[in-house]
Amino acid sequence: MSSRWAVTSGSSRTKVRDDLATARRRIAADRGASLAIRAGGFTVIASIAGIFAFLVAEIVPVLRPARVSLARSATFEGAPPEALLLDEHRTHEALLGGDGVLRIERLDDSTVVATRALAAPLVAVAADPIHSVIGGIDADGVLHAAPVAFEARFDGDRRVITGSLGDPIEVPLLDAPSPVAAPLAFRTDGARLTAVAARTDGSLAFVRRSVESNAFTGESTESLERRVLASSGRVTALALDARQEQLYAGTDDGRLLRFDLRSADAPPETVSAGRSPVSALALLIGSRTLVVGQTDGSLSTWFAVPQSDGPSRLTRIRDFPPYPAAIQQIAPSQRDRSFLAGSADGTLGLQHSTSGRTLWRDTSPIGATTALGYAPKGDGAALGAAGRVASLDVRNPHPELSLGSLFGKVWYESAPEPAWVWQSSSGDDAFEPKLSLVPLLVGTLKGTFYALLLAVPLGVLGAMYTSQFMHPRLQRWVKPGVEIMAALPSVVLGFLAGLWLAPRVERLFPAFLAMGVSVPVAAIVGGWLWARLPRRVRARLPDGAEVAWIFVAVAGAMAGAVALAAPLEATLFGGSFPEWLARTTGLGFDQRNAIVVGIAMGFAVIPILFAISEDAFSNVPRELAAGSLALGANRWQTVVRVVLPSASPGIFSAIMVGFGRAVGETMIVLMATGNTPILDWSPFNGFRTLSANIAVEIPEAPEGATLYRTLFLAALLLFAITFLLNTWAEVIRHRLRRRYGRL
Amino acid sequence: MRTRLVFSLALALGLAPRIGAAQAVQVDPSIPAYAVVSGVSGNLNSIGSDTLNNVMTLWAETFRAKYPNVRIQIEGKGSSTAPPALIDGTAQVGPMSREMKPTEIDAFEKKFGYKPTVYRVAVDALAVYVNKDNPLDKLTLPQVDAIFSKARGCGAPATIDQWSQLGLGGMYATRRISLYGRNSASGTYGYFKEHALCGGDFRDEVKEQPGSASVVQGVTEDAYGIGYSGIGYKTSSVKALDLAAKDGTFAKAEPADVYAGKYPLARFLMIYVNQAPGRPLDPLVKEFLRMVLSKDGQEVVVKDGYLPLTKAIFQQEHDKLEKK
Repeated sequence: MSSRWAVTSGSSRTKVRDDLATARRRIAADRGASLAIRAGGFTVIASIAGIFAFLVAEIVPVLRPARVSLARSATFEGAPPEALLLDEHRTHEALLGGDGVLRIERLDDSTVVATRALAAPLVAVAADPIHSVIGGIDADGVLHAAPVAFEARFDGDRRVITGSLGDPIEVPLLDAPSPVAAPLAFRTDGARLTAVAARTDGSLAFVRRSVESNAFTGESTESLERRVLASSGRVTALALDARQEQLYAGTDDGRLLRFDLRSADAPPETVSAGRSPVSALALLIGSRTLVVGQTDGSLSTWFAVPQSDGPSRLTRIRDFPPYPAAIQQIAPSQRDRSFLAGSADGTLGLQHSTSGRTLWRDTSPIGATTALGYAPKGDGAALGAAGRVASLDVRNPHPELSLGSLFGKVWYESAPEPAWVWQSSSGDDAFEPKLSLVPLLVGTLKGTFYALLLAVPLGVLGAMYTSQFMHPRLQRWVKPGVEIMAALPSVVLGFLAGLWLAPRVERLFPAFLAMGVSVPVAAIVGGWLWARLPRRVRARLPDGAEVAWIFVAVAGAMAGAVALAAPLEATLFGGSFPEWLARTTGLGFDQRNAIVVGIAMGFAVIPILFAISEDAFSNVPRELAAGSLALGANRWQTVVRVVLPSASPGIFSAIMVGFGRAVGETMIVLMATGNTPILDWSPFNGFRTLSANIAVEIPEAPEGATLYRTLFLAALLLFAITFLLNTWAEVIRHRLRRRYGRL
Repeated sequence: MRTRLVFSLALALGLAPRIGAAQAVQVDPSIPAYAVVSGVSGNLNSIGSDTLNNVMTLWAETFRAKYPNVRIQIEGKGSSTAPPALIDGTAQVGPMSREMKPTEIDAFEKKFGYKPTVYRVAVDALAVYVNKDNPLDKLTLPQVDAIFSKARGCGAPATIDQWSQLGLGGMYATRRISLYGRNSASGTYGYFKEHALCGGDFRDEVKEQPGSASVVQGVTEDAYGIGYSGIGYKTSSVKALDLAAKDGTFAKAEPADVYAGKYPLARFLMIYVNQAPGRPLDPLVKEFLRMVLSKDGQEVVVKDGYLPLTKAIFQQEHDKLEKK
């Protein structure tokens, strides 16, 4: 280094100082730039990692198991409770045992705040948790019940709950007193009460009392209907649905009977649940799924499956891991399809019907339970045993989500078979959320496929023509023109596709099919005609005139196809394409279908594909093409055999970028399809993509709820697909570059 | 079902509003006009039902005409967007065309410690629309269920896919029925599922539109379309079908039949607010509700094509609002 500064005369010293200063400035700028770029790069990586971490953080709570823990326990005086009701805020329990004394007990200090002696003794006891009524039947077959009301008052800011008993309900089940036995089931919604109990001779006593009140006169008329339902075998468990229309009975030889109470004489539907006697029955929210517990500890869910030939049939759907002893109580949740089950040896378990999961199992803190209840808000449970009652905290926020329910086929209520369905929510809690991501994944791939089907040929081949065959003067117009296509907002594209293009495609579909034939033919014929023009004439025409000529030919072919649409439809398809389609293939034709979306999304993806492919073609060294031409190949052979393989890494990269764009495209899909989450590859109907689904459903998903987390999972899935695909594409691109870069 | 019974009873109870010869319903004359008070200003955000969107906009205009200092923002993406907005505090007023679900009430109660307060503000006849050129005039509810659902929870014998199964011929003879509906955020969707499909599921082929107006537009453009939406969105290019409950007579989606309790898909439109017990409601929200529950507000309801409250219902809501 010293040799460079060896010669130092006056002016050259200034020059050296200037050079040094410039060199230092350049070094500083160089270092600064490299720092900025490195910082930018790290920020990009950090942001992507941050997005990933945020998505995962929103999904992690789904993976946590359900937690059930003891909240408080209290002593209880009186016969062991056989039915109980819990208030919304889990402060009070209403308990009724065989001694016929109904007690409302406050849990935090075990004080009894209200009691009523209903009748003594009670042969069977039951509760209707939905309408908050509890009661039992005495030996003469009279139902004694009372509504339990828990009222929340606000004393300043403090909430004070008071429990009170309403007017007593007394309904004889039989015309004449006659011995009845357990079990008992009843439901009452204020105006109508239905009660069923087993008689000692094996039949069932049924009573229905309806009260109609005339608001003008104040009179109320009561109508009473009593029936005896014949049952084969001794009934050991009963369940009534919330609408008071279906009665389910379980017998001691393992059979299930379903009575339709709307028709007086119809015989019950009978199915067998195995040999073990049925010991407990319960209907889950929505009253469609029946949970059956048997004395051998087996627990299963059943519901009526519609049959193509005849009425629906009660079918066994799922089996849960068996309990060590007979199942004695089943308590359904009033918020979702979870349910608690308790067995004779004190084992308690929390299960969920739709996903078929056992969420928790352990032993009861107060020994074998005689009564079990699920808190109305689904956040707790109440247990009753001899001399003790307990309240449990239940934390079970996302029972519906499991890998099986998200990606596997699930047998949903009232469906003929297991299927992949996305139908996330509705106006009430009795709806069974169907959260399968498979229709959305298939929809995403379907939309991408039809978009790329249009965009890849047009984009790549258009780039090939533009960079290799087009006159440079025309190139200067075409490139920016295509890039302006990219500036069109996707909302506008979606809007035009859904409202302008879709009706026209439906009307003129045969024309589109004709265009598929006429446009290539017109292009080829036009090119051939152009080549036949004498060279003198061609030389005098402006540069790039052949493009205008081909343009005219193609436009003419398209216009001709549209003009011939009606006669074509009449001759080829018998007057109407949709009907022909339905007749020959059975496929329906929807106005908002995948073809329309393919055109619109293709329009959005073409500029990217074009730009990147065009760059790839232009970056092929000219020497390669020149050498090929020099060796005697013609232009077409040069382009196809030399330039194209050389540019293939870039083209592959272009297609992958286009794929990534198409996968994530939201607005076009949202506006141009019907957003129907169907699992179908037909181009003639719509679909729903992961991205459109997130856009449509996120405003209605309460923060932290199951749907919210499922949408984040969908987002993570999209993120993962794009990320992995791009990484794989980069790897392949490198390999291609290494292979063809040496050409 | 029980709410329908209560509803029709309540309407029949409350001397139905006078219905003029031209079937234009009028607001009950005993409902008082709104009296402007002083000191009302601020921002009012409304997030919720799409069915109520137009009515809310007209109410907002009426309100702003009386109180120029008030800024009102309205967003109507569906009734299901109202509870999360009320819970987060992004909206003071949550219009809904269905009742809040127990899980939504639980989430609200978890945050604030008390339940949300509901005010019924208008009556809607949920209509089933077909293209105006469609010769079909009426359907029973089981038929509607068989058209829109896969499970046929209302007891229809078979699914109805084709217009020919409803007895139509001509250009409808070989075409499938094209279904338009709302997305799942909509209260109209939830209400229709509960009352018209008897709790069953919609078919996958129902094209989910983001708003009530898009459903009507879809049916307008599509000659083979059928869709459901509030009666306020009816245009001259669609026809509202007469409906009959399973064993009832056919009733029109018109005021006379709605107030008589005959139309099976009549419902209340509601506004939910956050009202702490024992504490007065925010003055801006209270004045807005007062305006809605007054002659001016109910005349706006009529203007938009919905039906106003009967005197009896009005009195109940008024008393609830004015209770100290």
